[in-house]
Amino acid sequence: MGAPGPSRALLAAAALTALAAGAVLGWLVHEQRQRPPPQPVRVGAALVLPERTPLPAFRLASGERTMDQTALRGRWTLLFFGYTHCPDVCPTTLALVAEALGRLPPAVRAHVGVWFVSVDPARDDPARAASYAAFFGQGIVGLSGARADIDRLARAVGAYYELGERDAGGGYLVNHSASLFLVDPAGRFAGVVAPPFDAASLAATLERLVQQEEASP
Amino acid sequence: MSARIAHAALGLAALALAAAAAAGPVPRLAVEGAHVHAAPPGAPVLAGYMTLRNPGPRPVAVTGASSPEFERVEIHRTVVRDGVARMEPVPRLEIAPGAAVRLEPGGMHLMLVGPRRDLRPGDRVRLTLRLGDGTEQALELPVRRMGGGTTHMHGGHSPGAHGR
Repeated sequence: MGAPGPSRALLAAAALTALAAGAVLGWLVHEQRQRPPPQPVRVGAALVLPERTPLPAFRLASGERTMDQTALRGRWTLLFFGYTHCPDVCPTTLALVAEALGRLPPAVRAHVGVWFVSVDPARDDPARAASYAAFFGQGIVGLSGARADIDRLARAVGAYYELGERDAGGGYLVNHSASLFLVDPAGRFAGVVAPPFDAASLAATLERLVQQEEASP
Repeated sequence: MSARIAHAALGLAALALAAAAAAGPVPRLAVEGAHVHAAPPGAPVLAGYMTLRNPGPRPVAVTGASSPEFERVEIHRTVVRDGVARMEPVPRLEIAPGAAVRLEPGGMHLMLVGPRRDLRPGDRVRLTLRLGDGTEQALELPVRRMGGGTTHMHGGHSPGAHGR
């Protein structure tokens, strides 16, 4: 009771500070909740991520050529995950991508690459993946490699696949993502083109992406 | 004289009958735009596409197919769900009277497994459809280079639209 004044005032000040801090914290949390997380932006047929993530290290091969994450730098790349025993989706998609590339003006075409990454390395070696992809168009790069490397790349972009059950002849189908995954010229995962899409809209999308990147690298 | 004419007429009738028999029964299904997509040399699986129309008064079912050019032929449907493409076998493809069913890229297709030789654009593939009533229908599909535009892979959901 007979306590000196200053300490009581100190207590009061401390309480007030705590209250104020709590209020500020509460307001911040409230603000955070109110602000929506950054949304992907639609660019033509693509959904482009607001925050791009660098790809992890991996090592694949196309034919004799070893390629890693640095090989994706310097231009936009469409990644497609498939397999050469694929009857319908892979050839259809690769033919469509090739057609889209053919529609690009040469200046834009030079800034776009395509990777066909096999998710079936047991049946697709790097040579087989490369010759399969090249059939659809010049500059379509087919790759394969160790399952761990394929998985690292697939996981980084959110691509999915699962091997189906074996039939009587030992063959199997593979369920896999039908989307095209976009890698930007800095080698970062940048977005997705989900089906259905057509060659014209894909070409227009690529053209816009290349132009945007030139405008604001 | 008249006996001779009658004889000749009989002969002609017999010829006509023989011709009709050689042509086989009237096909159950009208087939349009049938083709095989050219695939990379050494591709172990190819796909065939076409539109099947049933002009008759009764439903017609396709229950299987075979080709001397392939180890085996299956009818499949590509279904894209949540961005992932899966293939579902179609053991019986029923076509209602007057209806047409499209086998098209990214949708239903003939999965042609194990080609016995490399097929190039311009080659022709003989193929037989097995029908639900036990009859067969013979087709010939030209091999064509792909191109022309769209995937018909419809993303998202199609509840109930594709019964087996």
